[in-house]
Amino acid sequence: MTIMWLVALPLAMAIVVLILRQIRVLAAPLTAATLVAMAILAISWGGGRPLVLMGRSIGLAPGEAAGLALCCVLLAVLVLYGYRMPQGAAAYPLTLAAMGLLAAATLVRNTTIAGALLEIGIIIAVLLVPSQRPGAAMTGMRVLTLMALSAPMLLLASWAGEHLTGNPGDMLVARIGGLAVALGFGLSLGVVPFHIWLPPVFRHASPLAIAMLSVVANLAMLLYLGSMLQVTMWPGQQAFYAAILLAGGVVTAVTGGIMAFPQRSVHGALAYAALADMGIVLVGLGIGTAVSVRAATLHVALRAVGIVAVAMAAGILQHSLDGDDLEHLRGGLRRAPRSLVAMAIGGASLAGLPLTAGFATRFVLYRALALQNVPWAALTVVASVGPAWAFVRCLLAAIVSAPTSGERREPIMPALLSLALSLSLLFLGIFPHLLNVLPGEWLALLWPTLDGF
Amino acid sequence: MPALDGFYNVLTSLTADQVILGLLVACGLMVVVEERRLSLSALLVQYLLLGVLVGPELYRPIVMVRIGLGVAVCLVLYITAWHVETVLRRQPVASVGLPQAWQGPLGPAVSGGERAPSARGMGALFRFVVLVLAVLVAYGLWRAYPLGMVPAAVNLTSYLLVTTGLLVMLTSADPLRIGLGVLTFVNGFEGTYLFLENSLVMIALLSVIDIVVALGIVACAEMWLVSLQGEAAA
Repeated sequence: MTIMWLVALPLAMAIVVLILRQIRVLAAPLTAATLVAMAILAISWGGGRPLVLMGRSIGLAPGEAAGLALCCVLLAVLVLYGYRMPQGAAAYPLTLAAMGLLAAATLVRNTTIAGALLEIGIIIAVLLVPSQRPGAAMTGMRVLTLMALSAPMLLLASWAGEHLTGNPGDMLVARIGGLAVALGFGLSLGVVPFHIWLPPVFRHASPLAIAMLSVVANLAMLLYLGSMLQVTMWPGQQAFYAAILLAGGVVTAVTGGIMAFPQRSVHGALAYAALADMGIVLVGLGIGTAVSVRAATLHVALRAVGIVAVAMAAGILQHSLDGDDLEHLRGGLRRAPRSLVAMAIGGASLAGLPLTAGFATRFVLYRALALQNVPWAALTVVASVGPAWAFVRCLLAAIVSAPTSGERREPIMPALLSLALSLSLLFLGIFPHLLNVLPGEWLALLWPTLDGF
Repeated sequence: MPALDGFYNVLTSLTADQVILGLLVACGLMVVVEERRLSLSALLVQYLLLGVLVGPELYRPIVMVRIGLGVAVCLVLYITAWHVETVLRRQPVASVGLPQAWQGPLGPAVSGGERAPSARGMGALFRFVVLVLAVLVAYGLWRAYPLGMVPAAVNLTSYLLVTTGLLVMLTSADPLRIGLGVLTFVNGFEGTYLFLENSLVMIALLSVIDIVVALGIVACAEMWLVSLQGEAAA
């Protein structure tokens, strides 16, 4: 029953940390230690024999364990960052509670229960968004509304899958199920045109909330999507899903790239770069070959590191320069050099520039897309200039010699954490063969290959 | 508990048509009248009548627990609404046009320091017309996509609550009213879903979703109030 600690530990520690939340010197290390313990538990248990608890199967594939561990480690880094850059009074207990529920959703094999747990975890993560900053509360309410709308869709899709297993040929239920899958995942993953909640989160929320909603929740949702794609609702559904994923991915990548172009702030560039990157992941899943699905799996992980690194850097820049738009960034290199370097490298990886980790996986996915549809591939490559230009523009503003608007120097420890994450992306970009050192089962296919249909 | 049993017996004596009519009136009040007590009362009526409608499918104590949950959710929202109203009433009139009461649009919603257009232009007549349209849409959906495994009354009620919930969300500009729309939408979905999937685990998880959504609404509303106060002070 060791695996149940993966759920029980964060939920129990959430209560402890809730009590101790005002004593940050205790709450932050406790939260970080719990997350690291979760990562160790996940890695050590991943791939173990599934258990049966109260008639329900519980298990964790090695790839799922690796994804969960990566999320826990990134959140632990963010919690340490938050020790010097406060993220809100209830941020630590909410993070632990949400992680416990998202871990439970990943463990449970029953798609209906997993869907409900996933939605509860995501809604708890949404509680990290509202704060005293202008606009944050309404942003939180919008995200809550959309997540509350997606919950019924996912439950309906799961029910339709179960119903059709026993009653194949019920086309009304099959139609409801297909529509619910498309709408539920579209809303939750922020796929264009359902992405409206994503940019405001990057604008108004703390880095911890950004990571929870755009990294951890997205990864949990993608793992859930993998389970749902294996449920047969009607003959030929794989072709439908492949088309939806591919078209949604291309539209999201292109729209994100184009929307990134006029952005004049780090958070704006990050929001649309993250959106475009999610599109690239969906393209990989939609193409559905073993190579593209593996590349997409790796891209999810690199995207996660990139988003966290840049979100942390953006938080430090806002703190030190009183803002992260072009006006505030002018001359910022002297005041926040580490954060700006972290922003530049992390942003370059998200945009898929050469010599960064994001390039290697993007290149594989561009090539796979070109084999299917050359104009779409060309459009996607051209659109990737948008995020790159937005980050370069921010960097250019910062290296100009001019008086800065902020008074504070960047805090050393958070800046170093952000820089370390970014440098890891640069290192993997220069030596991509190091990725081969990862255990093979971590990159085992978590999503079904759809290309055979 | 004889009092509870008596109350439950009164509720269960209602026919399906009476329940649907009651829900229609409650939805109408929620959309057309923006007064706080009436809106929350309408939500409470929804929980009670929906409990009656799904009652035959569920074990009776579970129905009572779900109705109790609805009452608790309404109570939590009422406390928040009362707090919001009290604080807003204390604001000086000159402070950037903050609304003086919760009923009526709570004033412009704050979005990134910019004020969203006020919903004040949406008068009661306009909202009534839109409500009629939403009811017609719900009826049309019910006729076009009837779910065979769910009783017709429950199916119609669900479509009605879902469309009304979406309508309230779309025509509101403050977290509390948007939240009422969200809960109405979720209620509509749960009405049908409890007939499709009524295992104890799922009923418990759906109840947790209700509670977490209500807590989210409260958190957003309170933070919204704090940010409004901060803006007024600035």
